[in-house]
Amino acid sequence: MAAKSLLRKGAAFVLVIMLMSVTMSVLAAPDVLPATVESTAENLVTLKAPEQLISSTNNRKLPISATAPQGVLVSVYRYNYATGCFHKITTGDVPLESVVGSTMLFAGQVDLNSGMNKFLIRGAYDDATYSVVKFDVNVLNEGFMDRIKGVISNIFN
Amino acid sequence: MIRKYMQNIVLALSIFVAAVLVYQLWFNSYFMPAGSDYLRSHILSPLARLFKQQVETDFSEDLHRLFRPTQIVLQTTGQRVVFSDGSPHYREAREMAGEVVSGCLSGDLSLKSRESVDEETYYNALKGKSIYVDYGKNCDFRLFSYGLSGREKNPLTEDLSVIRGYIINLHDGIMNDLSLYIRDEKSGNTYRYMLEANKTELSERVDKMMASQNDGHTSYSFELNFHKMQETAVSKVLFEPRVLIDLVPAQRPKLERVRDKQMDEMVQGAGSVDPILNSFSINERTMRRYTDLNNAHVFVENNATLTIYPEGLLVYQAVPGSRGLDLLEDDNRTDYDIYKATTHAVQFVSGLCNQLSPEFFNHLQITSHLVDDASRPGYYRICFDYCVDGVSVLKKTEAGFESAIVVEIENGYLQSYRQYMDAYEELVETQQLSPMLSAADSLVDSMYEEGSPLFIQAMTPIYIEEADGRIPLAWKASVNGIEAIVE
Repeated sequence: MAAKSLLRKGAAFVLVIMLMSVTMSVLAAPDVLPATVESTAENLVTLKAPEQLISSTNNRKLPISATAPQGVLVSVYRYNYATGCFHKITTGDVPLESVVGSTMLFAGQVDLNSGMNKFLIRGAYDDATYSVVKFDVNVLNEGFMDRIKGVISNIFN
Repeated sequence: MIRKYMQNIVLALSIFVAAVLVYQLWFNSYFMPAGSDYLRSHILSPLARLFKQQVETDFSEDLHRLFRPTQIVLQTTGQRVVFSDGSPHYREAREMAGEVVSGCLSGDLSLKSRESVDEETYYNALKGKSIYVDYGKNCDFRLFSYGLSGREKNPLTEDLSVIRGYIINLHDGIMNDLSLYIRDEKSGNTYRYMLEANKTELSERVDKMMASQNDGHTSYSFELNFHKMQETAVSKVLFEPRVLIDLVPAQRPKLERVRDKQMDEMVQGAGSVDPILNSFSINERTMRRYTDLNNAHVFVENNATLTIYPEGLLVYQAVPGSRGLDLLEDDNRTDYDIYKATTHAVQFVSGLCNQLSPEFFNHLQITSHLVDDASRPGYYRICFDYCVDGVSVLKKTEAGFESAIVVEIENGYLQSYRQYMDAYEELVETQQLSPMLSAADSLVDSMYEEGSPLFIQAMTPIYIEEADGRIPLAWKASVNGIEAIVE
C-alpha cells in the first residue's frame, strides 16, 4: 500500500517536472534569429526607447525599453554582420531578456559599437507566437565632434 | 607642616560645601523655582545669544551632516557611475560638487548669466558630462543654502524656493565655464546659471574619479521614456523623469542589530537617564517617576510625559492641550516656518544624540521633505532615519514602518519625540535586493486602478527590521504622493 502511494507521488513529481520543462522550453527564446525574421502576432512588444526606429547618438550606452502584455518574454538581439543573423545579447552569461510583469514594462541597456548598430526586440508568448521590432542606432564619431569643439574653444578662450 | 595641609583641606571642603549649598538654595527655593528651566531661559540663553554666530555655524555643520544626497551621479558620454552614501568616493564627489555650488551661493564664483530653460534641456544636461547631486526629497532652498554655505540668502534666492538637487554640467558651451542647473520644485521652473569657473580642472577630477569605477547599469526614467504615456505603448505606471532605474538586481550586506552600552543601561533602568531628562528640561526634583507594568520607565511632568520602553523606544509626548517643551530662544512665534522648525529639530536631535552616542548620530539622516506645509501652518513632522551606507533602516511595528527618530514641532513647542535607540552593523554576508521593476509590478498589483496609471515619484532601497529580528531589504516608493513599502 505504502509502495503504491510512493509510486503515485513519484509519478506526480515526474509529471510536474515534465510540465515545468515544457513551460520553460515555451518561454525560452532562440539565441539566433535570421535577419529576415517577421512577426507572427501583433502588438506583443512595442518599442518605447529609442523612440525612433532609426536614430543617432554620441553616447556609448543605449537604454532600451518596451511595453508588452503581462507574461510575454521580451528579448533583445544585435545584428552580427559576420553571420548575417541577429544574436541574443548577453552580459556575461545572462541574456538581456525578461518576462514582463504587471507594469507591462521592459528595460535594458546595451553597449554600442562604432558606426551603425542594428537591433531587434522580440516579445513572445511561445515559440510560434511572437512580435519583432527592428531598430538601428548610429553612433556619431565623437572625435570629429570634439575636434570642431576644440578649434572653436581655442579661438574664444 | 601637617597643620598647613589640614587647613588647606578644610578650606577646600568648605568651598565645596558652600557651592553645594548655594546650588541647593538656588534650585530649590523661590529664587529659581523652575530650576534648570529658569537657568536656561534667563541666564544661559541670553549668554548663548552673545555667541549666536558660533551656534549657527554648528547648526550649519549639523544640517550638512544630516541632510545628505541620496546619490551622486557622475556621467560622461560613455560611462555613468552612481555613488550612494557609504560607497567609495561618495564623500569626495559630494565635496567636489559642493565646492562649486557653495562657491556660487557665497559669491566666490561669479555668476555670468542666468536663464530659464525647458525640461528637455534640463534632462539633456544629465546625458552629457555632468555631476548630478540628488537629495531624493524636497528641501527649502534657504536650508539647502545654509547647509552648504552657511548663508540663508544668496544670488539664487529670488528664483528658487524648493529644490531636490542640482546638476553641474561640464558639457555645455565651448568656454571654460560651468553650467549649474537647478529646478524649483514649487514653481516647476528650471534655471541654468553660467559660472565663471575652471571647467578643465573639474573635468579632470571627474575623469580621475570615474577611471577607477565600474560602469553601472542604470538608466534615468526619461531615457527609457518611462516618464510619459505614449499612444503606441500604453503602460500602467509612470516614473518621475529623474528616477534612476537600476537594471541589475543589487547586492547589499546583511545587518545585525546592536545597542550602545550606555543606551542599553538606560533602557534597562541601570544607567543614569540624566542626559535625557536634561535634554527634555525635565526637572528631577519636581517630576514624578514610576515603572509601569510593562517595565517601562515613566517620567511625568506637568506638561509632558517621557517614557523609556524596554525595547529601546524613547517617547516624549506633550500632555493633550499642553504645549510641550519650548524650543524657542525668544518668544517670537510669528512666521514659524520649516526653516525655524528644522533648526530646532536638528539642534535638539544633535544635542540629545551627541550626549547619548555620537556614533549613533553619525548614522542619522533627515529623510522627510523639508518644506512648508500649507495644510497645517506652524506644524512640522521631521523624520531622521538610521542609515547604513545611505540605506535607511525602518522598524516594522503595529503602527507601520517607523523611522529611528520622529520629531513633531508646533510653533516652536516640541509636541512629541520618538526615538529607537538601536544601531545596526553590517555583516560580511550579503543579500539580494529585488529588481526595481519587480517592485513596481507589486505596486501595480496592489494599487493600480483601471484607466489611471500610477505615478512613482521616488523609489529607494531600505532595510526593514521585522519583529522577529530579521532585517531584509525592501523598496520604499512614493506613489501618487503616498508612501508605500514593497517587501
